[in-house]
Amino acid sequence: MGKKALIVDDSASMRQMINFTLDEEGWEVAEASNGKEGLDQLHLTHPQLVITDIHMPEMNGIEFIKNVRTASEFKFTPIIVLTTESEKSMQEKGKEAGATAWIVKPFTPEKLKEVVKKVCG
Amino acid sequence: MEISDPRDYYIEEASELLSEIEARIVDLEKSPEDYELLNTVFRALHTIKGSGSMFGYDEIASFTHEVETVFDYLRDGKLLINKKIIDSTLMACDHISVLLKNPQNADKELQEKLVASFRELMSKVQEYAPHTAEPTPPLAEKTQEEPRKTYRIEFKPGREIFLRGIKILPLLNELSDLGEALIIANSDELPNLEDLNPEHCYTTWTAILTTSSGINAIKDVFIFVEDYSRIKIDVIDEGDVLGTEDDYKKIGEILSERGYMNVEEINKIISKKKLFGEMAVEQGIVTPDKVESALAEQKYVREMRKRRNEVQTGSTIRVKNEKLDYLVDLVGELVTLQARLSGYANKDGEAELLNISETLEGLTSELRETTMSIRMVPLTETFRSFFRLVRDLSHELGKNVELVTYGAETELDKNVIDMLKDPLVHIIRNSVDHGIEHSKDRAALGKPEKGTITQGAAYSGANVLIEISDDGRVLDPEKIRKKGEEKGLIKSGSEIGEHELFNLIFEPGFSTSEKATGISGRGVGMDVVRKNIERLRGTVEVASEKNRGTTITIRLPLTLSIIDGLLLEVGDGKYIVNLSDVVECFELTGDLLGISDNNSIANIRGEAVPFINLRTLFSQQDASEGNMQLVVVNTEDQKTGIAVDRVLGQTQIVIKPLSIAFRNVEEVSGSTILGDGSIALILDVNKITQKAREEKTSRIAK
Repeated sequence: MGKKALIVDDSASMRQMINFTLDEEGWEVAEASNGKEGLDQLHLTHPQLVITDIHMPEMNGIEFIKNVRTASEFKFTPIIVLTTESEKSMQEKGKEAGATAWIVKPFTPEKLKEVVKKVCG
Repeated sequence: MEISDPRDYYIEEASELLSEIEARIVDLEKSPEDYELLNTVFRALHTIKGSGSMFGYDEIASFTHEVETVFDYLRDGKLLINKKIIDSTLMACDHISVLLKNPQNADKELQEKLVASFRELMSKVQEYAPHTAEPTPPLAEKTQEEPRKTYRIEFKPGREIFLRGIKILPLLNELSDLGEALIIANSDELPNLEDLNPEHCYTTWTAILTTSSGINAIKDVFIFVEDYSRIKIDVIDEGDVLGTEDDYKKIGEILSERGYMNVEEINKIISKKKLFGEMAVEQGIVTPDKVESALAEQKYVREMRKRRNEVQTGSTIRVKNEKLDYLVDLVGELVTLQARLSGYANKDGEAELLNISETLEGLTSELRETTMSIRMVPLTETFRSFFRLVRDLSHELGKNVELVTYGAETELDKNVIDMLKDPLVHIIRNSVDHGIEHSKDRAALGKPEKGTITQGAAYSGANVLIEISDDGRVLDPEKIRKKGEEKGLIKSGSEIGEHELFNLIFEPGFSTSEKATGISGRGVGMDVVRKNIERLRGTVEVASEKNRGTTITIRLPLTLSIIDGLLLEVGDGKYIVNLSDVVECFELTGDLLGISDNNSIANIRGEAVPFINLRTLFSQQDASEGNMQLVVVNTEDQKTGIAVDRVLGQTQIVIKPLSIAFRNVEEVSGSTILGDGSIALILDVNKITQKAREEKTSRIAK
């Protein structure tokens, strides 16, 4: 009840696809198109799940994750980072910054649901 | 969904990004060193690639990857921007635009040329390795079905695991979902309160999991935590191959396998000849928690093996049907012989003989019940087979039907079940075919789109009730009346209750259109259903009510062949009623007939009970001497009386089929041979009840 998620991605089509998928699973979804907006939305919506892309203008995903983790309210919040097949190193950087899990693009809505279930129950 | 297809979104987004790239490239010509500009172009390309692969634009994704890599190097200063790169990038943008909007017009040659030129640029960078079109890994790897094994999974999360947003409970749930699991938490490492950091994880878990999903599926559960945790997975039971005995490892073995103690320590404890776990704790080698956990594993595997062995070797044996039938026949003979003996002993009156006869009667009765119970099987299999029937049939007819079951554990004689199958198939077919409507029709009627058929069974005294009901179309009394009159089954305009009207569908000749037209109503073949059920000494009825649907109820006797009966006498004829139907017996005195002017309704404690005089029924002319006896039977929650000359007593009887001469006598369902060799007829209590009720109504009508 009242599960809230925040999607941070500069691609509107990605946000839409994730939004749709989470909506089906009963999540209330907030969106942001870069890390900076993401932080604003984070403190506005207090989500229980954060999904973020890496390459974004203003503030990239890695910086964003670090910022989320330093806010004591979101110390334990699951963060899923979206990476691509060609960037294994980003997965590591995401983990170092404090990401909980990752999904490699391209992925299906089912895969997304699976990972969300894994980290959120 | 068509208004917001993510593909449309993507095309729009990619087009915007392409025009942004073009604008930035022009700026880059002026200020080639501007990192932010390079970064913006890189991100735009990255998004076109990443989202493209998401929405099925694979060609765009792989082509854009080449351009993106160039900008990655430019960003990192490994390449320097020049006119050639700018020109190629602009051409690439145009090409992507074509791929996006009219992929069929794409110039393949140009694409290859561009890819070649980007690769050439990159080949100057040392670390470059061309991106070969590697097949994308399957998105959802289905876990392979493997032999069922039992694993021990030791999961020790890193202290700071919670600070990564990792939650333990979903993981353990996921693990449990793989099969049958026992999860034991171990809090050994929990520090003293003053040293405890509430944000840290001190607990470790041991899971004993029996699954056929295989080790990869187990590893997959921990994919996001493996870097920060110690995970050890061992096979501790190989399913069928090893460990066929009920027993499992000793506690010491488990503790050493888990690395809690070494061989030397084990031997030291064994020499003490005490409970191993206790000693290990006593000597401070392991904590009580660890012993508890090992004991839990031991218990789990032992119990699992025991269960498995029980299934395999089984505590049951299979016996041929014929042997059982023969056994039942023999018991029947014995029952008859025993009745003869007890008749003789009673007449003779010798104490010892009476004693032997009575003991034998008890034993015979027990033997009979045991023999009958051997033949009883649950309806589970029969009911289960109908799931497939309903599924196939509803697919074929394009209907959405769910089959719900209750009481499948109800047992019936094997022979009854075998003979029951065809009628049940017929009834269920009718329900799917003629009862349940198509989804859209149901929706229009305000019913749930999915139709429900319920099959169920329950005990009711010495009978079993089987019900098949559906929430589809109900029977139309007017139509049935019309048809009944047409076929001459009822008199036109006759007053007849809905119940009787509906049950006309079981009359032979009511519906015969099945093969001729293929369009048939519910009544099709129901006469055959009734005939089959009556052969099992059962009855069948239908009830149909708006909002409640249609229910067909079959009532069957528990066993086919031997029953406890009450022996009755009328004139010089002997009759049997099933003892389980009998409620009480009375002397039919004048008081009982007080409210009745024509001797057909008895007043039993203020209750009007209709009764039938067997003398009248079987046309015995001479009047009986003295008072008659009234046997009150109970069927379908209604009491009916049967008036007879004398109630002779209780006896076990073997049911024999009727000879053809009696087939038309509805009130008689079978016969039996009594101990003295004479014959008694078994009364069909249901039929008699019905008759008495009919007479009562017709009398009231008059």
